Amino acid sequence: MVKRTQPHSQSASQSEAPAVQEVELDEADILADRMRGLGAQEDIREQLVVDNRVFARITDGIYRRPSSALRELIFNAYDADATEVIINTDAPRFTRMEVVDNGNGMNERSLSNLLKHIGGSSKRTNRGREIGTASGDDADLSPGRRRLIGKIGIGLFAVAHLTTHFQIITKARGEKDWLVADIWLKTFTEDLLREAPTDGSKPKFITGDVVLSRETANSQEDHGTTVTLFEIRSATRDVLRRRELWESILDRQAIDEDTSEKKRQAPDVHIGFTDNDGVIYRVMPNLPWASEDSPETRFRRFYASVATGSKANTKNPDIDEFLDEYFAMIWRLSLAAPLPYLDRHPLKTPLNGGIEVYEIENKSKGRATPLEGSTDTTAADKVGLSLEEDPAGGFGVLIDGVKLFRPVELPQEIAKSQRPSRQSAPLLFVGKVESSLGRYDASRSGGPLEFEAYFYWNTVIVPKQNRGVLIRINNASGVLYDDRFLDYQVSELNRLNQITAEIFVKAGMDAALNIDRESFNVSHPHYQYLSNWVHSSLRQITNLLKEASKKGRSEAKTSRLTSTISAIDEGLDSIWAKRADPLEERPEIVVGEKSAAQPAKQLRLEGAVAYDVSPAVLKSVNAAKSAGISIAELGPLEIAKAVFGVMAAYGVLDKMDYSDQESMFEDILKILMVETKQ
Amino acid sequence: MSGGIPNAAVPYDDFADGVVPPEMEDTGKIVRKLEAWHKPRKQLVRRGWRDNVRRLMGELKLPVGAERVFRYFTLPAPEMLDVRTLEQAAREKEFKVQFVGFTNARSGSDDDRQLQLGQTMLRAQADWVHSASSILHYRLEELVEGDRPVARTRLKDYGPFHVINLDLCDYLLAPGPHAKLLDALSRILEMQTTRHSDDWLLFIATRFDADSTCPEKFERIREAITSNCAVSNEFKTGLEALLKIGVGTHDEILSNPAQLSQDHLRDTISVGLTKWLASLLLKANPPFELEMMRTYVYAVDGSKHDMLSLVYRCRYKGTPAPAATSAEEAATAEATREVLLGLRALDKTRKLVDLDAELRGDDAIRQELADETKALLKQANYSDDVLGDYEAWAEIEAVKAEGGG
Repeated sequence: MVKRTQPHSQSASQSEAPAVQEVELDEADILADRMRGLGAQEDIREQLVVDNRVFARITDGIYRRPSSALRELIFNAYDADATEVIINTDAPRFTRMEVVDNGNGMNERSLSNLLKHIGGSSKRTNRGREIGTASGDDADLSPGRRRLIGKIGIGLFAVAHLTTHFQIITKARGEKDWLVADIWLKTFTEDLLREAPTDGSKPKFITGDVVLSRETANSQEDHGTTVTLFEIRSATRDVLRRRELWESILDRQAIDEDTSEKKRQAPDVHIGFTDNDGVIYRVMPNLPWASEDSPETRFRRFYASVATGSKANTKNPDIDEFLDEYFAMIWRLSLAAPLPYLDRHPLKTPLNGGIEVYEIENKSKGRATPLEGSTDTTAADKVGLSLEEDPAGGFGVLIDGVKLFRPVELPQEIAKSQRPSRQSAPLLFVGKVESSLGRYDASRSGGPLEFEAYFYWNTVIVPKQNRGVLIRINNASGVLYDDRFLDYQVSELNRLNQITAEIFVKAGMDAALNIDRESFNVSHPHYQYLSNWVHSSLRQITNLLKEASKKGRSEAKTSRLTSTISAIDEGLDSIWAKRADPLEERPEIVVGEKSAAQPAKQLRLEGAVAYDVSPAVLKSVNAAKSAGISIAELGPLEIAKAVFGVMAAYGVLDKMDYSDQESMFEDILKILMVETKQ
Repeated sequence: MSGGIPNAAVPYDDFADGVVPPEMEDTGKIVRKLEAWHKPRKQLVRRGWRDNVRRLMGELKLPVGAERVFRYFTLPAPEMLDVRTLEQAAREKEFKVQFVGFTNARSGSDDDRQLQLGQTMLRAQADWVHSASSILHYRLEELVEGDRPVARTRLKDYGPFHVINLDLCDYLLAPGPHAKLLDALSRILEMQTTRHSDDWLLFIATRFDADSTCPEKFERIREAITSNCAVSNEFKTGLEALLKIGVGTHDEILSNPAQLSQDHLRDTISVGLTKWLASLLLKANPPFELEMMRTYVYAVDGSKHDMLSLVYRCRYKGTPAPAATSAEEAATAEATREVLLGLRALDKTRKLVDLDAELRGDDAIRQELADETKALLKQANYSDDVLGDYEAWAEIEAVKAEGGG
């Protein structure tokens, strides 16, 4: 926006304008005038300028999950050098929430900047250095020298997803008073944009009201911030309570409906379900811990329940199915926040300590090389990775009395699996990259990109939610593990399920992260570079595993010759060799009787493919066997059709294309024929 | 923000229920005024709490290396004076107080905002307040709402506590289906006794009113007394002497709470409630022994006593050894114990301290208490303007009390 008191261009329109005009005119109108006056041999050089009205939209909420709001508040606390954040969610009622931190707090300037420049964060700017939201000598660091997570200044307004009424109580060290801001957000309407001034004056998008007051502090030394969310939106409460699911389950129970039908089941781990007022439980909670457990033990037990639970399930469970919304929120927050690991930092894995460690070569057709060293040397030491201590003295998050950790543990032994592996030890691949993007003009390349990473391979990744790659930018993440590994196109399905990886971005990538922090701009050069590197690393990992498999296969062949192989086994082996992972042994299928003891559940934990069949079915199978009744008389084709009919009912076929379905049909026919041949 | 319905011509449908956010309220700077519990005399009660807390803090047997956290349950007024009273003791004994409160304050109301501010300011004093302290929005009665109350689970999450402070404005024995304070109290005892393995303190302040005593609830108190009378002549004569009633008349007098004088009710509650609590604690597993400490009585507004402020120490007796004696012998021992506890309750009730009488004519102590209260209120952000009028206000209140107005 400019005042037309100064000549703006050499265009012809200049002469038509009044000499001095006090009203502000839109730059676009001026440019239009200039274009109209553009001569045949002339051109205009201008720049593309972004309007700020988009932020009015953003303040109203761009997030999809309640956890996003809490994540953003945690990040704000981290950026404010807090060492502890305490969150009270009022679970299982969720009528109000509170996020308390012991960070730097805000003074009048930083608070007013927050309120008056939504979407114009002072962080990472010279203004931030000036008003104290960033370090005095480096705008990308917090005053306590943490790498800042926040950049835009909309994080606080993520609370719009949860409420329209919230309060900030804050104080910076050295100030005499606490500042109190009571904030009421308005619901966004398109009218808000339409009503923006058109007369050229600076548009302001009013997205809420605030009442400010100050309260004398007991001590000037006190500091910190409390954000209280009053009156959580009823729809958000319903999501957090999983009201729809519980009500449908309770309704079904009430009419004593047959529950064997395929319907949504209660999550294994949940916070319970209350009546609408939140006074009594309609469903008692099923917590993974006991009320007397310490905050840390609670999390450890929660992690163990996710690990065990996901292991006993054959399919890859969505955390939203295994956990209720509340526990899924805790899980997401534990992945997102810059927290200590439950176990040691993966990059601190010792060499020669059970896990074979390799270094990834930074070439598109590279080859990973083994890292040798004593057990007191870590992968990070060997590759020269920078595992710096938190400069502000550590960071902890306590949510409803549960202390959060990064839910990652990398076992030193090969996991017991349904499909025993020919590789005898887990593998860890580490890498460090200072990309060449820094060589180019930042307006093209996005600037320097630096990161460190590890990939861990085991026969089974537990919990399954950790399969894939997680990208952490400045120690934080808003995404979950990406089990497609940045869209890796090579069909290595089984192998990819056996990998968990984290990438720690030290510089760059910020701009490739979408504004909600929950997805990436995949066309950004940083993302594309990272994707190329990840895919090259995956190739290095799978090549190494294939070599191990080749070696293992020839050994297995020798030993197999000595044993008797039934015709069915032989048939299954050949199908396995054709369709499945050569690195793995074909699993045995174990069938037991369904009882309270759930033997299959136990066997699955030990790595078997096990099913419990109801006693009635087993009894009739045995009765048919002894009576000599056999459906074999129907012929293999009819039996295969029957099997396919059941699979179709269970949706197994839905995920397969027709050629795979046909090939499976043929293989089943062959197996049935093998039996009749015998 | 303007209120009202912008377009009342649009017909109502219930799909919009809970979808439209609440209207902006006219909130502003928190307004603080002096309340009945800010009178100087109440500080004497708080002193009692503080001294008992200090003693307990000094005697707790914490495991080596355990975090020195002192868990304190309260029903806080917005300015949280009771929590603030603990500062000195906590600093002295190097404990961090983790306060947990239940409040009825409406979400977003002035009281709520004052509590939020108070909590924030207290938690920032990390050298004596535990950062995980929290005020929860539950009514105490919710602890006994239905079979599966949410409040009970929440309280269990934070407990057991070193102090349970039920500084009630209401009457424990009030009539009505929603008056469930006595049940809530018994639920708290249950939670404390099953999980606590050290001494703890129980503070109860209750109104009492002969005109509105619930006969069913009173029956529990009466039963606790008469069972003692049945087995102990010493207790029976002691009780009759305390109530200044004729020999052998206690049964008749206690049979109808509505007929009791306010003074009789006071003493009956003091003895009966204590005996009832003692009996519950004794029967718990592991058992606790209740010791009644200095107890105050005063008149909230008028001249007649209508408020009891009871202080108990619940002494942990350890897990009982497997019974070496027969069941019959054990029952006799328990009965003897109960009688003894009843006798102690009688003795302490005889020594009830009248708060107003304690201060009457002693300007020095009154000023001391006024100064202490003002200091606490100052910490709770009461302005100098309000505190400047404190003495004059206290004087008027005292006169009103003397005059029964």
